[in-house]
Amino acid sequence: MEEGTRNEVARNEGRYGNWGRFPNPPQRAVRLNWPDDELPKGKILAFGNGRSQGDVCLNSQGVLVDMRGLNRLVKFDRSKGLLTAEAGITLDEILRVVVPTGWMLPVVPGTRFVTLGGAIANDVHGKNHHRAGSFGHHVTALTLRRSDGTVKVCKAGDAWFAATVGGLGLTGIIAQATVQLMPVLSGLMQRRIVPLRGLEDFFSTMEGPAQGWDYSVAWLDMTAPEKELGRGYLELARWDEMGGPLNPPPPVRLQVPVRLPFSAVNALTTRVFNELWLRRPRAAYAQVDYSSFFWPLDGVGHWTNLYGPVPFVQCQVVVPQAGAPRLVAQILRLARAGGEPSFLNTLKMMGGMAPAGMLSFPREGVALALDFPYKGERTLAMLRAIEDVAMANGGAIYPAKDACMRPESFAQAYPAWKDFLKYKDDNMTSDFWQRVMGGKA
Amino acid sequence: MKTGERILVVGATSAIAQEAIRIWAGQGARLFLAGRDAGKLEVVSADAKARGGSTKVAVVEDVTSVTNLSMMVDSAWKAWGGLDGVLVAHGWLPNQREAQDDPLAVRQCLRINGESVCEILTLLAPRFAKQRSGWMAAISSVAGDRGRAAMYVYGAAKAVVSHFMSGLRQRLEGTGVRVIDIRPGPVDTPMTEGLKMPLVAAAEPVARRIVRACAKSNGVVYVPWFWRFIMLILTHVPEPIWVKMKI
Ligand SMILES: Cc1cc2nc3c(=O)[nH]c(=O)nc-3n(C[C@H](O)[C@H](O)[C@H](O)COP(=O)(O)OP(=O)(O)OC[C@H]3O[C@@H](n4cnc5c(N)ncnc54)[C@H](O)[C@@H]3O)c2cc1C
Ligand SMILES: NC(=O)c1ccc[n+]([C@@H]2O[C@H](COP(=O)([O-])OP(=O)(O)OC[C@H]3O[C@@H](n4cnc5c(N)ncnc54)[C@H](OP(=O)(O)O)[C@@H]3O)[C@@H](O)[C@H]2O)c1
Repeated sequence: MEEGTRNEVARNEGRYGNWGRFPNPPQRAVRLNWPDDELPKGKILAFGNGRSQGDVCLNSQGVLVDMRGLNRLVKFDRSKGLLTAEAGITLDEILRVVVPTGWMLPVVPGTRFVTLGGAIANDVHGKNHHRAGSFGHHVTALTLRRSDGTVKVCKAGDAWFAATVGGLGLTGIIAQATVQLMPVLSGLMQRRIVPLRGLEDFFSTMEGPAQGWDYSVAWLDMTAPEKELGRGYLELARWDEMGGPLNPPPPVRLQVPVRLPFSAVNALTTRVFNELWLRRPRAAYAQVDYSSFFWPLDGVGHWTNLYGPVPFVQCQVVVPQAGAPRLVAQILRLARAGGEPSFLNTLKMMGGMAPAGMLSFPREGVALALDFPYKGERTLAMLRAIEDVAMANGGAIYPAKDACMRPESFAQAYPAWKDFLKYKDDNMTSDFWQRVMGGKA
Repeated sequence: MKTGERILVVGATSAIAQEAIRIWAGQGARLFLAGRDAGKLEVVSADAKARGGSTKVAVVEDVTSVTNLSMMVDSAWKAWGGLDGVLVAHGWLPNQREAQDDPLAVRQCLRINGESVCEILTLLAPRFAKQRSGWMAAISSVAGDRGRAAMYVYGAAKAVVSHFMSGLRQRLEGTGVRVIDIRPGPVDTPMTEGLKMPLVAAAEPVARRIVRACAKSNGVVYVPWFWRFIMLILTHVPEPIWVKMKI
């Protein structure tokens, strides 16, 4: 152990960054360990668990406030399924406690290693958006710490609440929040797999046989030839009503502990992956554990290390329902022409309920998520082209997975931003905000 | 009727202790949480309750006061009608460079990390012995295994605890009472914030190992396990070589 300066604000060593490591500027951070620990001075931004892809969780001009030390439960009412917890707790840590008691988080993203605060600040959505809305729809109250030292208790319905849900960490530090959980009889789900020969299959299944399923998502194979564009499979699921085990999520088994010195993800491995993963024979009907349904990738800790030194970028766009088949095909073609085939691609029909927050991304339409190894200009040009298609057709790009959308695109897709400025904390900012505001605010 | 294990945790606000408390609370334990900060204790207690544990808290103003410690042990013993175990977790890591030339800091360090722990064990040993069951665990440190220039003031106090527990274990052999000397390597907690350290472990797995040790071990437990081998080698380096080593 080396002697160091105590409480020094430099706990960096690669710990504070986003999930794709693009962009990857050095960050400074201070960790909070107790609810009333003082906030650092200057321009600050809450940092959850760094599961965002772009620059929403970065603050190069100031100091990150690491929330992971605030991961305690405050209250759990087992009869009503109301859980209040500090915002640095991960959804994984919540599920470990609540699932064995017969409660479940009503909305979960594709990884359970996000914090409660991060889930609220990006108003994350899951495979049941068309039924349950986004995460923010299930938060009943939250406590906000402002940089001026004041504390605001916000309830669902308040303007401050609406500004904070999906508020990208800019309205204050979410200290704690209360979530209304959903009762489950068991952790088992019925899953149906529908093979998709192309995009038409996706749209026709969603309008027909997919009705009546609470969860749905399609996984697309980007190595498919043009005439099979959109090939893949659709996954549908609902909770099993028969009762059964209520297991907490499994511990992470396989780790990709070190970053490989080379990238294991390239055209060849993507092809192999697609064969093994996307085209692996799956039973049309099966009973599966919720963990394997919701988080097939969480079984492998830090799988992004497979990308080796190559950073990667994600892109999630939502396009309006009308014209979706054409727009999705157009974006898939752009992605394919971009060179490197993208690795994990999902397509999902989003529901029509009113968004939970002023700047929430989840909205009615069809959402397509793609991820690519970052290969410089070529990748950026492709992302630009996708952005152009989305913007010309009334779409939106998800800030949590964005590193390059232009200020005009943000202003267009998130028209409430002007109103939002009333609630933004003057001492909070992020690299994302600097970029999309272009110095305006 | 409540039947969970009855556990006294001294220094319940320590990051490592908090993780252990969470596991015990999830098992339905009845916890007696002692610390010096009422506000923090409330937060830890609420978390334990939400996880299914039962808790009582006590503020111990000064761990260097035997009167305070004796009151704490009395109320903990009464709270749940006896105890099944105790984890002593409080500790203070002084800045070596400042402490090494300051006799008052040296005394304070020895009192907080060494004496107070031995005194708590002394107060509890006859009660557990009489009951002929239970366990007494304290977090010492690998730093107590050999004096290093970078950390010997703290290390010496931890060595006091390890030495004391070794004798206590021998004394209680055959009574059914287990004495567990937990020696973690560096752990990522507020205590070590800002320090550069090798092989740092996270508090949660360290606590899982501690909880397992409290359930069945008797003796010295290194966490993570590989520290046993590292310390075995380091404690066997001949002194003339050791003095020249920069570690
Ligand atoms: C494998 C994978 C799958 C994913 N799947 C989905 C998905 O299906 N649906 C979806 O919507 N998203 C998905 N995401 C994105 C992810 O859910 C979001 O980026 C989420 O916000 C990350 O949470 P975090 O705790 O890591 O926060 P960070 O990434 O650290 O921060 C995200 C934002 O939240 C803010 N924030 C964090 N904590 C607080 C707080 N306490 N108070 C105020 N602001 C705070 C930060 O300032 C930042 O703006 C996925 C990500 C990965 C890596
Ligand atoms: N972290 C490591 O690398 C490491 C390695 C080996 C051993 N250990 C030992 O592990 C134990 C737990 O430490 P931790 O890492 O969890 O650190 P921590 O989170 O900083 O906890 C330290 C605890 O000690 C208490 N404490 C400090 N000074 C005190 C005093 N003068 N009187 C009473 N209580 C005092 C603190 O109380 P407050 O909350 O009120 O401040 C807190 O509960 C300690 O015994 C430590 O020496 C730690």
